[in-house]
Amino acid sequence: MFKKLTFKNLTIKSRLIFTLSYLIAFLLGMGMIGLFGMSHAIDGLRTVYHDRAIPLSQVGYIESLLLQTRLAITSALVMPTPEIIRNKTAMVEKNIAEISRTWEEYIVTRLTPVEKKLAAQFAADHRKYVTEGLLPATAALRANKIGEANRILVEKIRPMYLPVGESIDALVLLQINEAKREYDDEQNRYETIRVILIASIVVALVLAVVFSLMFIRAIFQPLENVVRISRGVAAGNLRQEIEVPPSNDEISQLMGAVREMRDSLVETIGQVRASEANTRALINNLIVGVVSVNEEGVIKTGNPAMEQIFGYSESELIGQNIGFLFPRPEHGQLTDYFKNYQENTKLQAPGKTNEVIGLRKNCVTFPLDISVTEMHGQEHRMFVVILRDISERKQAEEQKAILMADLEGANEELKSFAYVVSHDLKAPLRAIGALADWLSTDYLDKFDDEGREHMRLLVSRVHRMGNLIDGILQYSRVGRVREAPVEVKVDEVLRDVIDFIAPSPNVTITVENTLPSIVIEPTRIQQIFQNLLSNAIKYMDKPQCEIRIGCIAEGEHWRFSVSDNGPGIESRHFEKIFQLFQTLAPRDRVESTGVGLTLVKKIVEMYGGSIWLESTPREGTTFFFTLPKTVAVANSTKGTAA
Amino acid sequence: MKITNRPILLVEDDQVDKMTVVRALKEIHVTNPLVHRENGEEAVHYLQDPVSEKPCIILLDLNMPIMNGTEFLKAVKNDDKLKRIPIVVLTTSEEQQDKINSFDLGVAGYMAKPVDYRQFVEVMRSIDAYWTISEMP
Repeated sequence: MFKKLTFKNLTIKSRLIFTLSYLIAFLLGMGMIGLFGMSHAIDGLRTVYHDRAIPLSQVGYIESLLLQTRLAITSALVMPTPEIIRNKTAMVEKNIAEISRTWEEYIVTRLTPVEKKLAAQFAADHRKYVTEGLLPATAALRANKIGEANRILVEKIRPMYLPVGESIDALVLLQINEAKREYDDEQNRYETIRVILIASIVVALVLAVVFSLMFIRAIFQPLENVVRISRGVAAGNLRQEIEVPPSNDEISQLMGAVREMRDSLVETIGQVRASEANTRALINNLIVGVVSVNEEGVIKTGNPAMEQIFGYSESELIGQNIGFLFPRPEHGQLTDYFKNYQENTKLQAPGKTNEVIGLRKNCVTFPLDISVTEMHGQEHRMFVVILRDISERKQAEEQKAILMADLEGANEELKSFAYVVSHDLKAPLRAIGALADWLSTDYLDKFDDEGREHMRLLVSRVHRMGNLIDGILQYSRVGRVREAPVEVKVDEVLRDVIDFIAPSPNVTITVENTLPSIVIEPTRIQQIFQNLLSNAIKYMDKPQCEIRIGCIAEGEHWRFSVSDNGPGIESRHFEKIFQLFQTLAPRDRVESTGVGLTLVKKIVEMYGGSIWLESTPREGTTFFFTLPKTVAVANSTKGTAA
Repeated sequence: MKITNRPILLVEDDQVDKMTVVRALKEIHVTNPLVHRENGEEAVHYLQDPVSEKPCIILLDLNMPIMNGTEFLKAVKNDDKLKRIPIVVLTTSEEQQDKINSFDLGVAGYMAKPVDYRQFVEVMRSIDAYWTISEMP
């Protein structure tokens, strides 16, 4: 895309350069013309002098010599003494020679054609005058023939002198006329040059004025326009039309730049306004009270939530010291607060909330969260104070605290209850067991078969109840009694557990990969594996029992798995099996307390892990549980024995 | 028991438990006389009584009224004349803390009473076997 290359499309710089070059060329031309004219005039003057002044003097000189010669002849005839004759004839000869010499000089000067003709005439007449008049007259005088000389004077010299004198006069006149004409020519040329110079000065002045006007039009008017528009923008008139001239010069570029600046400004201001409106809407719809205050604590702005919290409308708030929103003791603290904000912030993180007591319009005090932040980029120090009515939260917190205390108490009671009850239940149970044993031993012969069977059942139920109580004891001990967690090698723990269980030869236990070391209470990890393994063995329904144990890293946790090829568990029982005393097989068939999995779940969860299972009925079950790699032992319960 | 003429002191509040001990000792043919006291205080009185014969071993329950086993242990172990008598704790408690406290107070053994009488007989048999072999001051 090329713009049409016109003068208007050129940049001002190009235009200036162009114009200045043009002016310089013009002035140079004028100067050349002037100089040329001057030198020409000087040459002309020199010609006038050479061509006219010199010949004129020569011709005049010749005329005077002619006269002198004629007078000399005449005077010699008047007084023809030999001395005078000698003097005068010598003079005549000398003059003739002088005339010839001067004439020769004259005729080599620049002669006009008329002059040449006159000169030829003169030369012929003069030659005749000399040869026929003067020379014979002088000869006669020297010969002392006065009469002869007189006759020559009268007959020859006098008539012959007339055309000579006339032609020399004509020559003189001609010279004078010619000189005058040439002088007038030079005068005229001077006049012309002067007129040309004056005209060129006038033209230069006119051009200067025209160019100035053009520049004023091209530069200053648009510039003033730019200034006006910029002032307008500065004054906030952003909607004004900014016309960019179609040309390509700096002014249009400037105008374009100004328009871009205005557009960008309009956009920015639009964004700022939108953002401000957004912020305003946000602040207006906040449920927390927001006020801005100055260094003295005087409220400058507030939001609608303030009215809901304190009961004062925004107009009632503005101009008040923020201290009036608090009962007296808080008042003093807050007033100093803003002045010492710098020092305060050294002590507390910005945006930190403090709990204070607020005072509503109806003189009711209530708990309040307050946070103060200094606003930066302000001329004066300003602070944003955020106030949140926390009475409901406080109430809830208090209720929660009461509930928590109740709950903790109940929990504590429950823990010791489980322990005490099971402990105290055990003594009579043991007595029942012992007495039943003695009865069936001491009175063996008194019992019939049915009686003996009943006694056997009695003892077995005593055992079962003993196991149940032991289970409760174990379960209540987890979390209540804490051992120091130490780093244990799970491989070793597993080996110990397998030794303890002493599985029969049809049980194969495979450890699929190296098990990690974890920091845990040794008894608890033992209990986990012991219960999972003994469950797998206890409920086995196939002749070959295969158990596989594995462990993989999973983020922050180790994920252990214990799989068996046993009867499997239906998914509807997945939750039930983790509940206390819940078993899936009758106790008479598989002796079980229903505590084991509950215990395992409690241990795993106490360490922040989780336990779950996958199972295919009749094919087998896999229990998964996770334990954190790094244990943060939550010591929520006291490790003291009851 | 190595020394057969000195009595065994049983400190036990439960009557059936006392009967269990008596029966078990009889069953394993321990002939030492058995002195029974129902709580720690009575047992301390017995031990401090210059007339009473010092026992060769004390079988001690921990949960008892008036003075429990731990308090009894403190009293006995502070007494120079009594502190060398071996004391074996016979208790229902399997609490770690009870075990720690007992051993801190210098017990010679800690036996949990099994619910099953037969197992209890085996426990008594072990105690007898041990103190038959072990030297005593």
